Amino acid sequence: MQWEPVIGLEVHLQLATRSKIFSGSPTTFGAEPNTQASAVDLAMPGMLPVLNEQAVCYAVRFGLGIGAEIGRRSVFDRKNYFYPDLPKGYQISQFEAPIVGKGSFEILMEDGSSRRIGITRAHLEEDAGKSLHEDFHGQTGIDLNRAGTPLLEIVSEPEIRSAAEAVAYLKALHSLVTYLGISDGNMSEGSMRCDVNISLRPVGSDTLGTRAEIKNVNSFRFVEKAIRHEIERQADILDDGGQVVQETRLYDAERDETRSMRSKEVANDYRYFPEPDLLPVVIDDAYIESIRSALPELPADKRQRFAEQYGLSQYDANVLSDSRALADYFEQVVADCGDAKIAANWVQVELLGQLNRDERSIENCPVSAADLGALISRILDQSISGKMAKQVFEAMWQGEGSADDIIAAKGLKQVSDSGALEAIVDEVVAANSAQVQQYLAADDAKRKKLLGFFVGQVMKLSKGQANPQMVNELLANKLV
Amino acid sequence: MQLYQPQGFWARRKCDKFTPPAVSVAARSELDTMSIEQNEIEKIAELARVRISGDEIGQVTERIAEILQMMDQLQAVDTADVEPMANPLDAIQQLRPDVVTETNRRDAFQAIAPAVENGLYLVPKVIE
Amino acid sequence: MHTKSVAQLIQGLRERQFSSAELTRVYLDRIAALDTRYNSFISVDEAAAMAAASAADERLAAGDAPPLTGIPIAHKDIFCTDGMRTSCGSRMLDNFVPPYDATVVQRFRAAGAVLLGKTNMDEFAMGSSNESSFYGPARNPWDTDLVPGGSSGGSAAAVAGLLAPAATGTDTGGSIRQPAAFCGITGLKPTYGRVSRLGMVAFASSLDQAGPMAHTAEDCALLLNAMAGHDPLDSTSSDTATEDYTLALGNSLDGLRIGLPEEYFGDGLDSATGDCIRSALRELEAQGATLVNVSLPHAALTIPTYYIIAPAEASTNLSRFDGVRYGYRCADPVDLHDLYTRTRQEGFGDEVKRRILVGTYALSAGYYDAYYKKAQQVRRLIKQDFMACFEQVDVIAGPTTPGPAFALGAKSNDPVSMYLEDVYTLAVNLAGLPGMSVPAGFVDNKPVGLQLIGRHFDEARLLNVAHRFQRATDWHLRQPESANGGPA
Repeated sequence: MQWEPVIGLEVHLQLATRSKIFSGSPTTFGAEPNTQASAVDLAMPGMLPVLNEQAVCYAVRFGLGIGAEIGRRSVFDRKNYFYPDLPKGYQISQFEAPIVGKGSFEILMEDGSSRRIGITRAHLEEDAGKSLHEDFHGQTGIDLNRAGTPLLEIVSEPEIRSAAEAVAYLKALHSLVTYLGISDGNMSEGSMRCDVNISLRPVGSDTLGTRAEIKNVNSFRFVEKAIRHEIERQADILDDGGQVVQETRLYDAERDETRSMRSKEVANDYRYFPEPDLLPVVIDDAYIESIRSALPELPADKRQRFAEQYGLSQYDANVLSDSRALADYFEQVVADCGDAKIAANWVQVELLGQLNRDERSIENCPVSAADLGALISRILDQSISGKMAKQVFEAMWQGEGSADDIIAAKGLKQVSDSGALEAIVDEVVAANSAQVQQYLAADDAKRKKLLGFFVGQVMKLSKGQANPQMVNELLANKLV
Repeated sequence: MQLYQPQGFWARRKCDKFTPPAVSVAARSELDTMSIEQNEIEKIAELARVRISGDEIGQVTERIAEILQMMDQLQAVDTADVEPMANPLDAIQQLRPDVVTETNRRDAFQAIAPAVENGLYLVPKVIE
Repeated sequence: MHTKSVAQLIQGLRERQFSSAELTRVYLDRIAALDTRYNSFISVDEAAAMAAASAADERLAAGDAPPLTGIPIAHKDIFCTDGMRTSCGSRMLDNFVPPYDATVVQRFRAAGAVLLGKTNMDEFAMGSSNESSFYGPARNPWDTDLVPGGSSGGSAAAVAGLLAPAATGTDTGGSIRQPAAFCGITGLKPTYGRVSRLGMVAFASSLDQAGPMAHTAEDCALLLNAMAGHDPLDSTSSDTATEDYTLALGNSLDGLRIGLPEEYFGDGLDSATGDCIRSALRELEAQGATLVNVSLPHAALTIPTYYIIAPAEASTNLSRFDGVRYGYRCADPVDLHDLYTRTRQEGFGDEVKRRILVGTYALSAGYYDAYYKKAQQVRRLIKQDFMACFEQVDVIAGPTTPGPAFALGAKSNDPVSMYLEDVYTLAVNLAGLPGMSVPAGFVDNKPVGLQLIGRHFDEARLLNVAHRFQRATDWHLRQPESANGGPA
């Protein structure tokens, strides 16, 4: 039987607020255990939550970014369960009235094609703390620094059909939320955590099969592997005539397998009810408009504009708009050098190549957009050749200075002095009379080829610094 | 239109503290005659993480059954078009500026904790 | 000194008739001598009280002291006090010393009040008799075989027994008004959201409200002035402007319309208690008020409504007591489940566990709509009844309780009959309205309370009515013999 995977993703996105969602504790990553857990975060008796306005603003910004309906009256609920990393014994979340309703955004596949994926809803909630399982005399240690960090849980429609699409979805979401500036999107610090719901059904069927949920998959690579593995596991079961059990599974990256989390399978009854310590959040038109008017250009719009405004291929436009930082960098280079195509080429080939080799991000790039723009300007005004420019870029990357400094210091400036060039050209013509005769006897097509010989000789004598265009012109005049 | 009549708890207790109010009665719900079994109490106690010893469970069930019976009167009230009221003032949420106002008070908080080590709260091993 | 009202003590301190240190000493000595009878205090910190009194005397001498400077008060042991045990009447918090103050406590400190100690209460404020306290029941100074009422029974007994001139209480379903009535003192439950809940151990979040308990309405006004106000750290706290609650105390009652709900004067009301209430109403009528018959058609539903909503909210508010970060932890837990279930079995008393179970049940899958949601709908109907009445009248009046204080043990094994004690007080909390209990007579030497209910944020009018009543009567001035060294 041919099986079609039906995949839905729930992403827990950490919002980039300074303080927690319901308390004034800092949200900085990596602090000493429990040093960022206030009385509210620790659920001390009598402590009460107060909602952070920035978390609401970010959630609304996301909603507008995906064209969703904003919940005009959204309500917080208590989700009740006992766990040591959940100090109150309930998580404040949103159940019936989330702040963001249905929306969608475009995902880009590796081959450059795109499609829209629907978002069911997104709601605000608080994060839990962390359980540290290293051995404290057979006990578990609890760190509540993360408790109360604002999360936006983004739930997709079950419209994803492959592991590759799931990865494309996450990449597009990552790009979107960093464009919106609502999250740092740092997966290694847990800023984007993903639960995957997967079921299989016979190709052509439109009923849903029994699904398994894979919890807490924390990198693009693991998402892909976990999904591939889970699809295989379910297909094996179904092919053998078995039935998939509805359950929660955990992806084990070390063993590359998912396994059942039986401990979580105790029938949960979360007893959701409206959180009486918080009141409904009412959002009016003026508030929505103020956020809408301040929205940045989003990835899909930018891709299209890059292609149109700069005459780039769709592929180039996609690469260059991948992140807001890269797109901003590219546009700065274009502004400084005035030639989008050369700029696009340099950013994609030289810059991204170097960044990849050094495993750096664009944010930590040692060559500024202004410096790269200046370097490209030297190619355009023929001060240096493209080949030399790569040498200069190399030196800039090592921190040896600006393009002009390096060109001057290494004596790389092209010789464009016609007197000096003419002398060299004359010397070459005089020293190669046989080739001159051959050239003069040849037809136009052959001449073109032979001209290259003379240019090469001139470049050799000038140690590569002769302006190739001028050399061509001078030779054409001499060889008559 | 039916009139509300004392039933269940009120009838059994012969408790007629009030003139029975004239409220219309919705379709009789099956919850009307609901009673609670001991195994349900055990399930609820597990959800609430409260241990009840074997010799208490019978009495606890009996008491709670009485309380639930009293509550069942509400089933007779027609609330079809009534918006639930979570807050008596129907107020709306005020927002807090995104400012860090808390400082590290770990020592003060952990001084009153039952078990801590290296700044962590300790609990019996959590099995994942 | 100990027989004076707060208003008189303020005057005495300002006129240097006595110092705060002398005054505080008097009350501490009375507590030491008499509280073995009443068991009204759970914790008393003499050294801290005397230090606060000396500081108050310095402020008084300096001349810029706020109104309550040097006035000794007691806080119900539900308010967190920095550095002083806050037990909430429970074994669960027997060892809990919070490193922070409740907003109410902070406000009283800022107003210069001297904290005598923390008063006894029903465990987690769940009870109407004070018998569910881990520290044993407080007793009624009018007859120590009687309950003082609950849950703020310790505060009521301390004030009635003249062990403190005033105290704070909290009222979720009558917990200020009912003990005030049983002990013959004046108590005010303000509008929901008028006083901050921050640092007050939560029972039922949408019902809890703190308020003053004292001998007179004037004293309640003075205390409310210190307590009331918006708290940005409590989302449910109201930003409606506060006022000086003493300003309207003396206003005439001419033209005041007082509504008498027929449901509050039915067969369930003890007849002698009813007589006291009716004669109190005649006094108000004599002062110019008009009595109007009104109806609260859903009154019969307040008990089931309340006893769904309150336990539901309580069941999750009390989830934080898990033996991990503070409070009681069972000995040698074998695993996490054992830690949770045994800590909560041993740390909570029977009534608290019962309400946790009822509330958990009411919220659990399959029952939510039938119980919790239904109760929240009926709650709106109950509120609408009051709103309709307040179109006709300015204040609603009736008995605070169906009868006077009952004997210790009389109802402690019958939760449902205990719940029925709250029949007249619950609706006020469900509707979020301000309510008061004012001494209005005696039945067999047992005090009776007149309940006054006002519009949202109309505390000043309730205090005005109560004050005018107290200028014409002396019920609030009567003292139990036991408080003056007589037989208990």
